[in-house]
Amino acid sequence: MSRARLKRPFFYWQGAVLLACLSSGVVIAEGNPPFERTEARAPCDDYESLRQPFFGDLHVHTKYSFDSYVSSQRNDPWDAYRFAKGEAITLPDEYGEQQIVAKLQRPLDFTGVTDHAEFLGEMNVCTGDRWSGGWFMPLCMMTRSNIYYVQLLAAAWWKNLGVADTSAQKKRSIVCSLPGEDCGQRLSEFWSNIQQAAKDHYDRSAACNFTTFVAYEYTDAPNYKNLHRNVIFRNERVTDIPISTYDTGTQNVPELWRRLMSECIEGDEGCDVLAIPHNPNLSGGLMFPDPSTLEEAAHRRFFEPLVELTQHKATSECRYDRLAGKGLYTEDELCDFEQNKTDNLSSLGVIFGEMQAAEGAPVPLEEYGRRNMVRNVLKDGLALEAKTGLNPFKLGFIGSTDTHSAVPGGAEEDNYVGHLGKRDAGYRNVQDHFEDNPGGLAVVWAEENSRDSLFEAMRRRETYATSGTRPVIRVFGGWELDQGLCEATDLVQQAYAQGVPMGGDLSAAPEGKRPHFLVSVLKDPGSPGHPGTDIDLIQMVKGWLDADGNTHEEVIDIAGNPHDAASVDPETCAPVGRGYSDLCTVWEDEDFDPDQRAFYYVRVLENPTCRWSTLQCQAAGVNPFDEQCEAQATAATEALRAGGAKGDVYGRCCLAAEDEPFYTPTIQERAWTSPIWYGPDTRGSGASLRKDDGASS
Amino acid sequence: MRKRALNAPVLHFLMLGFALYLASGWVQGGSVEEIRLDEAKIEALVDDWHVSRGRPPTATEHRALVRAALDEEILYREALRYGLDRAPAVQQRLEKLASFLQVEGGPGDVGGADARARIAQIRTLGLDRTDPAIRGYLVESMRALLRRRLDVATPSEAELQQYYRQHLTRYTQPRRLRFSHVFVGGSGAESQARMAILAARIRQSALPPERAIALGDAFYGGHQFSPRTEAQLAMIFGAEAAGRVSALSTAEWSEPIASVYGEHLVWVEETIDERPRRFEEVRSDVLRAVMAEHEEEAWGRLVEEIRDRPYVIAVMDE
Repeated sequence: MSRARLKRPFFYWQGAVLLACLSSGVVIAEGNPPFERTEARAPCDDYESLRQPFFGDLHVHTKYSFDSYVSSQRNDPWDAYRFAKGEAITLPDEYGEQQIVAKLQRPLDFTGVTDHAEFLGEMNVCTGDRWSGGWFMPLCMMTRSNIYYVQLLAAAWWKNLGVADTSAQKKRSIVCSLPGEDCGQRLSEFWSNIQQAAKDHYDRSAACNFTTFVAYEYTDAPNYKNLHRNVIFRNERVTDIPISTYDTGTQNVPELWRRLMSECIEGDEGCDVLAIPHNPNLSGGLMFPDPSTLEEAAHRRFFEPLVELTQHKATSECRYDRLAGKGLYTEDELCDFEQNKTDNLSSLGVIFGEMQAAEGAPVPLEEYGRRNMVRNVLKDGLALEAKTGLNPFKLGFIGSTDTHSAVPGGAEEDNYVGHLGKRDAGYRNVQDHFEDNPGGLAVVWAEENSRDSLFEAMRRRETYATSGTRPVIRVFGGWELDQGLCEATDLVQQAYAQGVPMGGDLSAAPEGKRPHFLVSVLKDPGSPGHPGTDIDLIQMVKGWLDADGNTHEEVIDIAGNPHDAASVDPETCAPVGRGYSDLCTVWEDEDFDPDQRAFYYVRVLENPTCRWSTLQCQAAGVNPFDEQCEAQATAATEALRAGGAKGDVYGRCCLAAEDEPFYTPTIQERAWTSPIWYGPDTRGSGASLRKDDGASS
Repeated sequence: MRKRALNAPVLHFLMLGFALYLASGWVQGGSVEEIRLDEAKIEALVDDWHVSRGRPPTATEHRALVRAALDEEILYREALRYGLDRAPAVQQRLEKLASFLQVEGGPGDVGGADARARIAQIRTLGLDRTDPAIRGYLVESMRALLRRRLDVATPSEAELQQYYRQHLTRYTQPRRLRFSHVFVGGSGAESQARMAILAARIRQSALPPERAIALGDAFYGGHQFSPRTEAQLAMIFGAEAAGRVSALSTAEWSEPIASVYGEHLVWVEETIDERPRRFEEVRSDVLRAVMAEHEEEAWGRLVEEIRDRPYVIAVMDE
């Protein structure tokens, strides 16, 4: 069979949405990698044709972001990359003094610094150049202040200026209209720095120790409803400026895609770019609307093959309210994991222990947007495909942190310094950001640690998200995967040859065949002093569309032991009880209906461990498991109040899980693999180790 | 006659006087300034420290506080000497102060004659010297200006090469191993026993690695690895196992090595010794490192030079 390789996405042919990805089924050797090399660099010494997992963070803010700077955070993109590679950086403590030394237990393989495009120029005026005329403008002085109240005012001012309002044409700060000031030129300077930092820290030698991506965050949040996405460039060919809401207007994400198409994909040979949305849980139902045009649907599919499923501001897989006894179109009780009670960005509005924003009030399930949770989005994508011929919501998964403390990969539960600079440093984390969490990691299955290899893996969605730990997970789907594959020492070779990996598409079902899924898991090996946690359970999450156009879901335990009594020691948080160091299974969907569109993704759960808040409460002498917890909390709070702290600090440590809809003092860290899709009318793609153009069907 | 003239007491007196005149000019270097840090200022610094850290400063920290306050004052005076108080940002600030204080002249035209008159009034009132925002700005600007004007010598090629040789470990690609392994899953006596039997059989039959692998359990991370460093192996097998694997010799079966997953019998196919990366490969890193060193040295010299200027520093005692 000849291979038809498309250089441009399908919609180039006037609305044709089907694309065929034919392949020869041959494993490509190292000399001719299955990905396109778009940059000059040495091939990696550890190139692996069967691919290997790389761990990274694609959502990182530095002092170039307004909301990082006003939190007394002073590390720039270079510092963030140094941290990701394992070096120490200094962070502000709860008083804004640069006192905290932060360092990862394990370095990352890749990172993209994603500072907000909005206000890059203004931030340069206010903080980057003391010779600027705007240095003493009130907003600039407030931004640089170390006084907490002033910083909060400055943060609110910036937000209202440009990222949370709803006007079609956003306002510029007055600092841009001062005589002699040119925010455009200032923006270019910071954008150039961002590129330079990525260049300086990208290891182009054959050692391939670390990869950077030039990136930024497109920050739209009308009325605090989150529509943010991170724009990640494949290589050093990038748009002249980071296209922001100042260029597109608010609630106009399709304009971002159009501009990326004309200024990168079509406008600059060799330029390629993705946009990764995050926090649909805080989007007030706005993140995933039905596309209004075919172009919009096609653009969303092309530019957004991934979603950041979990991060600092909670998890967006699914939602289950224990107090209500039901979930958001689900009965999956494990969906109470790391949820925010509200549905918009006011979730960050807790100060001195109290929610200060009316919009930050808890939102009951009945009012919570269905598509705030990605599992529902995936289901609705199947329905849209049946109706229009195109599924705009084919979303693979990554995790990241969204750190505003310039600590990429700072998702280690027992090494959590906070992600909002001073605002959640020290005791302020437990006091004001109890609902938030250290974030997660993006894991990419790629041949080598280079931009091209990683980027193409992201395009074909061979990725998974973790909640911060590093289990190693393989998933394959196919019609001929043998039940005994878990015993085969060449299981990976066979699986690639006979099936499709996570993120791929199963072809239309051969007559009488049901899909089989190979899932293998290795527990996180840990690092010295920080052992990994045993695996508890592997689950298959299936969603499908019936003949009446209704969507369904089912969660099936496919390996492990859901009934074991693993727990933690209430004094030390040491694990109690064992799980699995590795697990593998081949699961067959016995309820498979070849006429029904479906998706399958895997969720892996580790044994219980203490949540970050439990560890930090205990370190302060407040033990959530102790009957005396409240007395301890009162005493610890009083001690801090004597030093100037305000409000209740440690009260939340003693929240009882049975009184809370989502919170528990112990958690089960987990991972979610990108779905494999099935449709009765599709050809398989993303398959095997063949070259894939990324715009798969 | 000349000899007698040179010995005349008057001449000696004149020469002595002239020498003293020269000496006093050298001591002053133009000016001998007095910096006073009074007790109240030092107390304020100590109080700030106490509030922010919850404890008083130690003796060492106290000395550092006083030193920092002196450095700040010195930089402030240097900034005035450089005329940094004429910078646009300071003009902006003074205009704002003038408006706020409703100094005569009204808002009027920015930068115009009225504005200049208002600023002159502000200066007369001494507000340009006492406003903390302006003071802080001048201190930091002077620090930044001095850094920017540092005379940092561009290193020669020879210096770069020397730095590269002296820091070779930083530019050395670690040792890498390409290997296969046989795996027996599980920890504990039973797995160890199974591995012992398997290992004996494999050694006895001298099986090649590809066939030996098939006799053991499946390892889900793969059985044949492209060249990896010890750090990379630690990410896969855990640090302890990685250390043991890295110490192995080539083309022979190892003793069983335990990881968090089970027991491994390792066959190293190829050892790629640690290799210094070629100078050309890392030249830009070396240049960056050497420039950073030069800048720190130059800055250190400049700080000392400024501190050595003839200031008379008076710290008033109680």
